[in-house]
This record gives sequence, C-alpha cells and structure tokens, in this order.
Amino acid sequence: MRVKLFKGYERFWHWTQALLMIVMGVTGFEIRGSYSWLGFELAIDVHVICAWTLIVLWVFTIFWHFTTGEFRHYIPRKEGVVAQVVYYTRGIFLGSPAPFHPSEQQKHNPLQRLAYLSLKVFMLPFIWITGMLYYFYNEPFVQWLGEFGLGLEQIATLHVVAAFIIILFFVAHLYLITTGETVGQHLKAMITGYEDVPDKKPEAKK
Amino acid sequence: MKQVIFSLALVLALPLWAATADHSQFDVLKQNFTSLEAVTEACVGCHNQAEDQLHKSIHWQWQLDDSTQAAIGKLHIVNGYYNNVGSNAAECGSCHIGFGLSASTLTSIDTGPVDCLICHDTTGDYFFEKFHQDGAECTLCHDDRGKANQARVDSEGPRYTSTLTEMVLSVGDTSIETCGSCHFYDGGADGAKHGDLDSGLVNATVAQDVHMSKEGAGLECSDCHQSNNHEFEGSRYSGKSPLDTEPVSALEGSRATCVSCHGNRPMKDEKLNDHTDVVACQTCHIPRYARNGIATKTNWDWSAAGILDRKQRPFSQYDSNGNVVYDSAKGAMAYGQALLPSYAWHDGTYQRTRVGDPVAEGMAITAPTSEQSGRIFPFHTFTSKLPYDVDNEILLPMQLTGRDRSALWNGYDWGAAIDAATNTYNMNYSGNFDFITTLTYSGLNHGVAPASDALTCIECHQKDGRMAKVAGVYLPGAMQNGWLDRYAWLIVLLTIAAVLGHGLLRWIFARRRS
Repeated sequence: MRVKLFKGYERFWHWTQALLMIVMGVTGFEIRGSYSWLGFELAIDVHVICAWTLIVLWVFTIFWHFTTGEFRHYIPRKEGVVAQVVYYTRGIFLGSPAPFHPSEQQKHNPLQRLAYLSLKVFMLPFIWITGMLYYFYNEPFVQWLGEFGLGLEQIATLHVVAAFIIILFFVAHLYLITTGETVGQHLKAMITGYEDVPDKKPEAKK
Repeated sequence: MKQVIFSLALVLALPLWAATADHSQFDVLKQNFTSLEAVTEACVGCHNQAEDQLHKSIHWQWQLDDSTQAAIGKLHIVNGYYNNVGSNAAECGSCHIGFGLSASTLTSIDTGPVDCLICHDTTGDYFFEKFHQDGAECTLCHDDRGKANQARVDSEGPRYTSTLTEMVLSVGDTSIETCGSCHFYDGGADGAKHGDLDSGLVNATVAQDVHMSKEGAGLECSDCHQSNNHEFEGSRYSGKSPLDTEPVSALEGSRATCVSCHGNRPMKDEKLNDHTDVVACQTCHIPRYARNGIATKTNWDWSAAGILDRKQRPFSQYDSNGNVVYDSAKGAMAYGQALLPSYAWHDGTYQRTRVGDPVAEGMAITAPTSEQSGRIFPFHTFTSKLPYDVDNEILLPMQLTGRDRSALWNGYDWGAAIDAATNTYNMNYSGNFDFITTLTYSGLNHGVAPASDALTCIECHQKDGRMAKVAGVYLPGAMQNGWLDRYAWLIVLLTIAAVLGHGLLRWIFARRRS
C-alpha cells in the first residue's frame, strides 16, 4: 500500500533546512578556525544569512505544525521503544520484520519520535539561542549575562558544543534512513512523499 | 561621517579665523635681530602671558605637575635611547623650549626666557640655527656624529639661509615641520625613536597618513593636539585615548583622541563597530608602522659603544640604506621598516622606570600596565642594552656629554662615564656595572592608513593571528579551547565507525541469509 507520508511543505521544509544547516556547519567551522575556505569575512556573512533564513523557515514551520496538528507526530510514546531498540540491535541482522510501519496517523517509529523531538526542543533551540547570543554578544542584554560568567567565550564554546551534538544527530540520521525495507526506501519517501508500506489489514483479520 | 566632516570643517576653519595679525607689518619686529634671546624679548613685548603659560607646560617642565603620582616626564624616567636627562642636561637642553639647561638638572627646570621661534617659525630654517649654536651636541641628533651631513654641507653648501629677521617677520602657527624638528629626530636620527613619527609626515601620501597628508585631511599636529594656554593635549604621559571609549562633548575641551572626531561607532558595518569597546581604532587602522620609507630603531646595544679605530678615533658603520649600525659613541643599532606592531591592553597608564630603579634581564622599562582593562592598542617595541649596577641590580645613569674626559663621548670609557653620572645623581653605586637588556613599549597613534588598508578580519581571526599574545580576549577563528574540537571530532569519528560497523554487519547477515 502506498501511503502519503510527507506533504509538500514538509518536504520543502526538510530539504531547505538540511541544505541551510549543512552550509551553516561548513561556514561555522570556518568561523571557528578549523580550516580556511571562503575566508573568515564571507563565511560569517553566509553563516548569518543562512541563520536568518532558517529562522524565518522555522517560524513558518512552527505555525504549520500547530495549524495542521502535525506536532502530534512528535509526542513521545513509551510503547514500541524497546521493540525498536531490540530490532536495531538484533532483529535487523536476523531479517526479522520491522516492528513498526509508518502510516498517516504515525509517520515515525517510537525512537524516531524521541530523536526528532529532542532535535526540535533541545538541539535546535540550543544552537539557535547560543547563536543569537553570539551574534548579539555586545548588546546590553547579552553583556549582562557576562556578569554570570557567560561571556563571549562561554557562549561561543556552547554554540560549538551544540553544533557537535547536531553533527552526531546528522551521522545517525544519515545511517538510520538506510534501514528501511530497501536502503533507499526512506530517502525516496522524503523526496516523493510516498512510502510503500506492507498492507496490515489482511494480517489483522487472521 | 557627518561628524567627521563637521569636525574637519571646524578644525580647518580655525587658521583662517586666527589670522587677524600679520606679523610682517609690526614695526617692533622690523629690526636686525642678532640673538635668539632678543627675538623672545620682542615677542613677549606683546604676548606678555605667553611665557607664564609655557612655564607651566610639559614642554617646559619636562615633568607632569601632578602630585598624586611619582614624578614622570622625560626629566625623571629612563628610556632605552638616551638613558637619562639629569647628567646630560646641558646637551639634552637643545630640545628644550628655552635657551639651554644647566649642566645638572635633576629635579626641576627653572623658569627663564622661552624660545618662541622653535615652534612658531614658518620658514623651516630656525631649528637649524637653534640646534647648531654653541654647545649643541651633534651626536644627539646624528648617530654618526654628523659626519654624513658634514660631507653633504661641504659639497652642497648650507640649505638654511633665512636671516633671523626674516623668520621673525613670518612667524605663525605651529606646523608638522616645527613640531617635527624635535619629535621626528629624537633618538639619534630621523624616525629613530617613535616608529610612527618621522619627517615623511611632512609630505605624506594618503596611504601613509590620511590625516596629515595634504591630499588627505591636510591636518597639522595641532589640529588634534590642540592647546589651551600653550598646554597641549595628547601627551603619552597623560594620554586620554584609552579612556575615550564614548564620544566626548566639545565642552570637555580638546582631546587628541580618535573618538573625539569620529565617535565610537564610526563604521558602516555594525559588526565592525562591535569591536570598538575592546579594540582601539589604532589597532586596525595602523596596520604597520615606520611606513614612510624611513627606518626606526628596533634595538640599541649601548654596551658595544666605546670601540675606537686603530688611530684611537671614533668611527661609524652604515647599512646599505645609510642607517648607522655602529658608532663608537652609541654602540650597535638595528632598524626596521613597515613593522608589525605588538599588541597589549592599555588603560592610558604606563609603568615607567627611573634612574636607580630595580631592573632585571629583559624587563620592560616602559610598558602599558598589563591589567586586562582599557582597550587593545598597537605598540612599537624596542630593545636596548643599558648599564646597570650588578651588585644593587638597579639602572644606572650615563654621562654621555660634558666638558671633560669622563663623558662617554669624549673619553669613550664606560667606567668613567658611569662614575661621573652616578656622582651627579649622588646615588649609591657599587662600582660594578654591566649591561642588561630592557624592553620599551611605545604607543602607535600616527600613520593612520586609509580604511581600505586597515586590517582585514583574518589578520586577527585565525590561529596565531595578531592577537595571539593578548590574553583575556576571545577571538572567533583563533581556535581557542581547541581541546573541545579534538574530543568532539573523535566522538564523531567513533559514531561514524559504529554506524559503518552496524551497516557492515547488516550486509554480512543478509548475505548469509540469502
């Protein structure tokens, strides 16, 4: 059965965000001093432009989540978490059937829910807030934080920590999307919007 | 920008307003002057407050009239060029705005006639008269004891031909040339001492100095170093530049600071303006110094002085640019051009050293106080080997000049020169001297380059950039806290290895199943 998992806006958001975040990672580590490519000045300009673009995208996306009720896909659930972990550590090697199949009601498996929720409520706000403090480091309201030991150096360091956490997410994300029925199944779904899922209903009747 | 144009308009209009008197028309000045003192008498006949004003100024006193701190000013401190005034006052007095100092001037300078022309001559010839009168010591301004210039005068004849009366009839405002006749040539040669002051400023290009270039703002020294009652702003002994971090009201009086004309957020890019609370304007806008084709001294080894040639005569050695690299009277000297500044926090105060102060190898005898306050400024750094008392570990004075053989430049004997100087200072000297390396920091404020030549971001925002040695400032791009990256990339690599391993296992198990 073909299920439409990802709507047009959702896919636009996902891929634009992916592109912006990769560019920000590349320019961000140049600003950090890890290598020299665009030049410090251009790297900053690109990084800042991408940041503001991403913020606009997020504003629209948060609006979209609440007006369409899509936020429900990210509410964590207990049931199925253990089964999913067991599948990734054991079943996947033995060829057992996947414990979870996406549907319009539940796009993400229980582990995905947790991972994406933590991305949205922890990792992204972490880098977003530290980034804003970094950008406005010389404004009075940020200077005030300096009195609590949160100066430019601490803010910049936290911003880099946030970047590394997101890189870890990125590595895991890139790998886990290959764990569908076929290696390309999940990727294809995020491109076309549709995913082929096994027809559950006949099994249920047995 | 508007603020700069307004300030410039004010500054440039001043000379026009001031020119209400044409000195060439005053009958009292139309006389045949035969002595410099007679000129002053004519001046103060009308300008009857001028001498009183000048006697109160640092240009006369050579010390600050500030009882709150230990005496500073050139009368008291030791610098790495000409060590000390006290025992050499008669000759150091060539640069004093009176008519000479008594031979030992240790604690204060008595009032006396002021030499008006040294600042107000407009012909450019007067300083020559002044410095080449009896008693002036050639060696102070000419590191080779004047030999190269003597050869030039012999072949070309003198360049300075105005009579005293001609000079008097054309007196006017101070200029880059009049200030420069002392401040460009101190330290033994043109540009030798400060690094940012040399005769190149008289005809500077815009690239060399946007303010003083005629094609640039066309300012004179006194446009920034404004005076009230003959007292000038902007002395290094009472610098306000590090203190002025906010625009200063004109009602506060003259300032001689960048901010007083430009404000503290003068740039179009607000991210650049974010620097001005920590980084001084000079730091980016003076990318290099000694840029006018004239070298400045970077090292002076006084311990090498005193070597004579086979005929027991002093001799000089020059480098390919004509700089004196050795002279029997001075020792060995090294030079540099287009130098990279050193950078340090500076709050306007310097830690300074006096004759008889404790000294240690490599010690900075003049340096910005090193607390992380104020802002980060560029400095000319200069090393010098100076005599010290080995037993008491204190800095010793030198007797460079004088009438008898004890003066270094007469007898070329360090032992005698130091005995004589310590006698003059009446100080506790063990008799056992040697030389010790000292370091001098000198703030850079002149030779401001056009904005297009200012430092680019990457000059500082990189590992081992220009701020590498400045503590207490975080620079994006400098890879501070690099330990974080090392551990974090290791964790990323381990994660990549883990998912690849997981994928490999999936592939192996899938193969075995099929």
